[in-house]
Amino acid sequence: MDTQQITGIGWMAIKILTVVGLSLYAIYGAIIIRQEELMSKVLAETSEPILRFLSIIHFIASLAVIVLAIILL
Amino acid sequence: MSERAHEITKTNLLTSFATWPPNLRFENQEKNETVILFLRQHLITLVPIVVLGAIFILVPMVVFPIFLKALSTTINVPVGYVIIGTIFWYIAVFGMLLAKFLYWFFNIFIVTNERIIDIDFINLLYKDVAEAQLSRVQDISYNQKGIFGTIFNYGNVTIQTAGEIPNFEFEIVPKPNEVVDIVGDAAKLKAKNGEDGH
Repeated sequence: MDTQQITGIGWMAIKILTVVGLSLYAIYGAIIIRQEELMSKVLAETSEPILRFLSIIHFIASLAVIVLAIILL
Repeated sequence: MSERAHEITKTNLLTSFATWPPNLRFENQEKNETVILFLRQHLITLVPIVVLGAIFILVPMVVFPIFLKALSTTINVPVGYVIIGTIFWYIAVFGMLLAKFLYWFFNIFIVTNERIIDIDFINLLYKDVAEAQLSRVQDISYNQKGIFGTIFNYGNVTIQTAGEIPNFEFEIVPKPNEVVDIVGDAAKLKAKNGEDGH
């Protein structure tokens, strides 16, 4: 195995770790949505849909960055 | 109850003090129960988060180039990692700010014509709800500490209740003097109605 192959394997490992890390973050994004849902059951207020929208946007962005990582890296 | 206490205030995303809010419902609210006072912690408690957010937003512009320059002597980081790293950083900062704001938004104190309720979300799996009937309120006091407390008119309100029910501590709430007045008036009214009812 030459140096170039070792470097290639190294970068592949980093790519996999990056995607795994981003996936874990996306799970956190989903937890925020669930958390917001649970909290809004306790308090129903007119401005609450704004927070739900922001939570969903955050989750979608965290999924989009995974796709982008798979494409770019 | 004083005229001031009867002022109807609609709540919005940043409301931390509202009397008789018409657009608000909470879990386990009874049919004949009306919210008299709605409180969150003073907006000033969000200042450290905003400052932290502003610093974190600047990090990719200031720290990342220095970090990459230092790395470039040993390893050449592909541009894809720089792009993904920067995008992820901003998403994570947004996520952190959103989570902090959610905790502020949903940690509330409510005074109704029947009871006092303190709802605290510690994390996703832990919600702490404490309540006491207004008839059990014995003593209400408040304190304002420091220059900021005086300037921005916030403080801690302590409500002592009868029996084994723990005391209520509304921390860093706006207009503590008005909170004391409103809760005191509501408790007196409840006691009066209770006497009339018997």
